[in-house]
Amino acid sequence: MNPIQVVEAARPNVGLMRSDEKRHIRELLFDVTMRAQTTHQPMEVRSPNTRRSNALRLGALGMLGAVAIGGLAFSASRDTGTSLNQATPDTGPERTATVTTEPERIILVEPPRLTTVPEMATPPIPGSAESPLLLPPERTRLDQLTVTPMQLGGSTLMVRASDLTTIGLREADGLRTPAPEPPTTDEATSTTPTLSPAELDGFTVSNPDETGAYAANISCGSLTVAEGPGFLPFRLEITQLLQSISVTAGAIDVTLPDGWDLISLGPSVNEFTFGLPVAVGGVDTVVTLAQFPNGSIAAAAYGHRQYVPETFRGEPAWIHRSADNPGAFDLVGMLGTTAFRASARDIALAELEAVLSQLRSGDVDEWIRRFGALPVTSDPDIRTCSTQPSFSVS
Amino acid sequence: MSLNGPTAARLYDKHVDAVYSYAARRVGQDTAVVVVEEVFEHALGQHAQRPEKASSDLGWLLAITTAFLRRHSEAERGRLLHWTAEGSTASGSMPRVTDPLLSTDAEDAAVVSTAKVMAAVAELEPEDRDLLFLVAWEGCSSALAAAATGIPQGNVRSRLSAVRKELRRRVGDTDTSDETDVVIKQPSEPIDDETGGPS
Repeated sequence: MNPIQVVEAARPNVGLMRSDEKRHIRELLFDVTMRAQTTHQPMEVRSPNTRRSNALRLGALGMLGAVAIGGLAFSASRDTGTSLNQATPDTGPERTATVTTEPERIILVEPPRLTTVPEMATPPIPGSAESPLLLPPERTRLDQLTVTPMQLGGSTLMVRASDLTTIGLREADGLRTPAPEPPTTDEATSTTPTLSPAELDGFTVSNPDETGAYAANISCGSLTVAEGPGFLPFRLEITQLLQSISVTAGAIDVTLPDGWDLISLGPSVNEFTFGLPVAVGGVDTVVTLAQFPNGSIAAAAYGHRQYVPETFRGEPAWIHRSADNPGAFDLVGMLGTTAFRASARDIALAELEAVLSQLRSGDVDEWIRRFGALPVTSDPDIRTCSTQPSFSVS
Repeated sequence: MSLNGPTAARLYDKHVDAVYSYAARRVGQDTAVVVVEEVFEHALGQHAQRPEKASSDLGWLLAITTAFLRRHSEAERGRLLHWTAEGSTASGSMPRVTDPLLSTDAEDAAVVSTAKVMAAVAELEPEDRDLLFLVAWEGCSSALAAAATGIPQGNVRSRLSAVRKELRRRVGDTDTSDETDVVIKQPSEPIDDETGGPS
């Protein structure tokens, strides 16, 4: 071999650049405006209104009211004296100036500073119809970053049964399928109760899987009914719901039984998810935020779990608290026209709100600019039916 | 012509791997990440103007990369002087037998030869070393190598021929049986001028 061939043969095999490093540099390059403000400083989130500080504020207000009406001043100040002695003027959020070589994390400084001035408004959470996505601060190492493409022609429905359990229904477009067949011998002799196809209006349904999801066989698509694990198969409410559904020429008509509520209905949309490491009171945790621009609470909540009503930022929301994982929760709600699902553990909702309020307002274009192009839906449009499945609820 | 917005993002996505691979082969993977950041920061900065006559975006980026790699020339030289076959591509190379007792004289000779050649490469003029690595390791065409080094395209072959003779002289190789005109070959994973990645 001549020397050049020797050099060629010694070519190091270095592979491709690691994706996290690639993304990190990409963020550095294209977040130049924010970068000019801060390069390596950790970002701090304004202290949230915790229950403790709220209680102290209420105590202070109570005392002031008591002073105003005179006669109760003494007793009121005695009740709240401790709180007032602890209170300090509200000097606003502090800036942590510590320079660190570690990846940036959102840091909640605790304990929160107390104030005698009641805050009438919570910090606004960025996000609107014009900027429907919240994006992580620049130079943030993310635990997760995914975009899940929408299901072509799909939609999701969320209802609440008369026993206050929540049930999700999801339909997706697909190919024309054969007519429902009668149950097999095994199904007919199964000890698990099943609904006979004859009892259902235009579709058949399988026994639930381990996640508590029932797959229905409908023409030109699929229908899944999910309520989460831990319920008896074909319990009364599920049977009621299935019997209230009729499928005709693609239309999935749902006539909710008395005492049932429609919570949300919306089309399938792209899901943008990132996991954001945060430190709350010195404890590291991760807030995972899934966002569904122009989506619905039904789409955000769908996932084989039970939700109960909650209030977040004064708006109706729904929360699932895990029985197996104490302290963990999934909160779903709307931010403008974007549905979201925030998953975290061991933090209060006020702290979650503080985290969200520190995110950057953006849109899909900015997401693409920072994190790269959206994945291309691998499934081609194979819809063959003139009428594809869709929900109609009454 | 300056770059911004989606155009800049596309440029980054399209060529980051090629820039990284080039840098990583020369100065190691850790330093390469730093170089990649420097290269694109410079290329996308307000002060960077892409020459209108640049043959391709990749050629322009490789030229910037080459310039930034000069900052690490001492480290690169050290790597070349103490060359090990670790991490080298297996294609076309003589495999090194792990157990020295099992190695043959021919295999030892090949390893020693590679080390001697790489040590000789360390002593080349920086411009020659750039050209050699762009062609031998990155599979650059003569046009791309010219864009990345500033050498006129018509001089690339003669310059490589001179590099080969210089390497022969330095390693003391008098065998000229394979002495032919330098042919710019496409290695197993040649860089595609358009995509910036292995074709």
